[in-house]
Amino acid sequence: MYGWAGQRLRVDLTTGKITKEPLSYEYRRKWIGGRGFNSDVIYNEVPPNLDPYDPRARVCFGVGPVSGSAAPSTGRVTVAAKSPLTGGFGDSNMGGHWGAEVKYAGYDQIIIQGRAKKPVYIWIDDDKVEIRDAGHIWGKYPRDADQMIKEELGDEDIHIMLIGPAGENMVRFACTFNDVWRAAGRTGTGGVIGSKNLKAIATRGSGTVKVADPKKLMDVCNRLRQAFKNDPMKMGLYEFGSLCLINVANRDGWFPWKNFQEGAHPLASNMAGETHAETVLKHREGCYACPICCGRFTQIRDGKYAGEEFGGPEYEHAVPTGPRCGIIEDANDIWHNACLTNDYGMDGIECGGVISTAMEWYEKGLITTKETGGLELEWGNAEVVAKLIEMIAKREGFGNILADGADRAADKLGLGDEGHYYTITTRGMTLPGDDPRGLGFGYGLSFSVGTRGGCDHLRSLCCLELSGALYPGLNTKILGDESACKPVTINSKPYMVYYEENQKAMTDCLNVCCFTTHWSYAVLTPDQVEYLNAITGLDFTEEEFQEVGERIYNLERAYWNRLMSGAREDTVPERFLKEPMPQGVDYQTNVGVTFPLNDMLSKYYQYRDWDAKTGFPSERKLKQLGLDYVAKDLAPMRTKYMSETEKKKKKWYV
Amino acid sequence: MSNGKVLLFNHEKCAGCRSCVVGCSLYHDGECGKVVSRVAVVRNERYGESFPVGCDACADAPCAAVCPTGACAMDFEAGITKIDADKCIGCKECAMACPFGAINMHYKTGKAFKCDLCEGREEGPVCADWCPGGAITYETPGVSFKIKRREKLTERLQAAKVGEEG
Amino acid sequence: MAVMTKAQAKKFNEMTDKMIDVLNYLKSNKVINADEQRSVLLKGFSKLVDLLQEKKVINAKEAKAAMKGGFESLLVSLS
Repeated sequence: MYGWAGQRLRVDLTTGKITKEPLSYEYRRKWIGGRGFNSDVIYNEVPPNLDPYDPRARVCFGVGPVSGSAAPSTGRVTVAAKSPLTGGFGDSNMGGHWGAEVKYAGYDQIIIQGRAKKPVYIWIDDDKVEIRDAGHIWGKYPRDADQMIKEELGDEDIHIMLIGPAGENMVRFACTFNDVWRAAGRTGTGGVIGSKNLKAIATRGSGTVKVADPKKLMDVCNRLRQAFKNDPMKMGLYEFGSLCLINVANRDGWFPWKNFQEGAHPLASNMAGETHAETVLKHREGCYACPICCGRFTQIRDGKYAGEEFGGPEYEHAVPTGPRCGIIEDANDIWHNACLTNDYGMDGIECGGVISTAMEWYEKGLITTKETGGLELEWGNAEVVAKLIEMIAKREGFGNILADGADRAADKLGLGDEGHYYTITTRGMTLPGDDPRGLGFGYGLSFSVGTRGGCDHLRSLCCLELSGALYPGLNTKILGDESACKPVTINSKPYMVYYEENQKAMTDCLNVCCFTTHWSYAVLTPDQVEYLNAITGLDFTEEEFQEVGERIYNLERAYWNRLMSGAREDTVPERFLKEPMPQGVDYQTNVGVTFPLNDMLSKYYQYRDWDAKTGFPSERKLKQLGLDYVAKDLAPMRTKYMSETEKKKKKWYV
Repeated sequence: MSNGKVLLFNHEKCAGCRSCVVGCSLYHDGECGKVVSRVAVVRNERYGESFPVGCDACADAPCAAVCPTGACAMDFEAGITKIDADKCIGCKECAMACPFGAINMHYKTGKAFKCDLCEGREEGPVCADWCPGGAITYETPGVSFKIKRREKLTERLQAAKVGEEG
Repeated sequence: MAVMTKAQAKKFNEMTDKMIDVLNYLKSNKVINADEQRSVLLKGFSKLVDLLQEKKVINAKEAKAAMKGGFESLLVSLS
């Protein structure tokens, strides 16, 4: 079989049963792989009202037909589960090399269900799969657990998916890793894995990806690799990592300062990629088959954390437990806090988010040292942030309240609407470091309708408004409107978000890195169709490619609709709608801006063919995408959503 | 006479991406995977270290010296040893003799296979062509070592200057 | 070829996001059919330009201008 391995692996940790399920051509053509396979399984096998930590819940790891091939950046894995943080559909994507290894071992997807009686890890050695005792590695940091498993199995060249202590403690935003440092950060998949008493999946694969037309694939890959050599985004990312964004973010006013009170700070460049490269960069890192290599390995060289080292950080990982908490003077504090969230195994975005929210509650007098157990949550207090990261991971004291996410914490503390104003969430999930008053109006629109809980930059990753300006003519080619390349304009943003969401969803099925197709635009949809067909021997067209993305997006949306989440929840945190951006630095470009959601949302519904009142996909659209069964599921829900009872419910998460 | 160019591996610039590995496998075998690649990357995930490993084109090659059938022999025009699969008996002596672990046994034939500098490829070896960080380069050693001497000297002079000022 | 009035083109130009509106208009005026509308929606502006050139609604020069000037240029050619 070309491209795909042709089967998925299902492990039931309650019974110990291991099955290999063949995947038919029809199934593979409809869902492709990666995120597509995952979304289908979650929709069908994880009922709307199931507790995400219930043993019957699933966690899925999906790779696609292109994974492990020579196309650019093919190591990625999508991890999906019903999210413990939001209660809705959740997934996250991680780089590294484990994805390629899973493919080489002979699987397109791994599904874990049930719960082991005591901590275990799974060892996949090609077609041999066993469940092994993990008592000795439970509680260990990923960097230690990874080493111990490699020594136990006698092979330092295997690749391992694993969780940290926070996942074991079922922190609602615990994350999943592979190769120690590569994180699938968002939506709390680490906690679902931990709830199953699973610590790791170690994998060795000696197979290969078979290619239908090797010469054609070689030609396409040669062409794309040449394009990357002089690509402006590749050069920025390779040199400075995603931290190359800091100075841009500061100028354009989307740098998250003090829980998004402001969007710029005079000292922002302390943590810029350029500064990082001169002071603490130990090594540049690349995921499997990647021409960009934006990964970092950091080693702190002076101060009280001298000697501390870790893989990362990314922009989104570093800013939440850094400037979002008011920390910017000493960059080593920021690197140290990022190292902590890695070692404990938590989403840096959500962790920093809930801490900065608590800091703003403290600032506004909504909570005092009574609630925090004596901790003084002053902005910029790096030691308190580090302490809270530890307390959250261990579910101790005030940390135990924060470990359930900002909206649940607000409810638990009885803080009412005012408390929720500062949680900066949509559907229970917080914003990454991209203030929509700066980056940008397209990003902000996609936060409001994101299918893994809103406030998510990666559902559309509409970089046509970020790096689009580096590719003159690209916005014209796709949208017919070059002015869309500016972040702070509504021009063509509804169409941009619609297009980019479909593109991204299919990219997540293949499963290749979206930095090659969003951010860097060295690879466009026609290129992907070319390499997909060269590998699989099939005849995908550009339409079918984008349509698969549209299908998956609508399926994920329907998952939320079944949970009574729709148009009423399609919004962004009020701060961005109400508070004009203040001036943080004199060269800031977006002073006075507020985010104009309603100028764009109804247009977006038209593109999506979603009912404007409910925000549910129309029956016509669902049938067009081969989702008749979904249309049936949603039929009784439409009226229920518009009922007076539902309208009255204030829903932060489902 | 060979053009004198060989592959040089600089682990300081290696990001561990394995673009070299996957490109090599596709170019030579028409399928993608580490097991059919003539170049490898060793990674220490925990410490952020990676090392590209390939054929160093030894002038006095141990792999050729130990081969019982003459299957592995120096191709003086190419400047590198090559393995003739027809003559190879799969004894693994060359793989054991290579100081770098650059020779492996092929899963389909059980015979040894190794780097051939992508003979015939216009752009030169795939690994050097695709490497994003310049960790694998295809060049004449004499030229490369002159550049390296100058780079290292510059580094030492910079460090001395900083030492003086500090 | 003119498939809309200058007044209509002006209305479109004033919209901040116009892809779906222009496509709906072209479909209801039978310049493109439903399948073609869907294809453009999925593939983007350059596909609209290609399609209109194929149908000889615009010529090569106008297509080239549209790829440079976007909707602003295309609407001039269509009105």
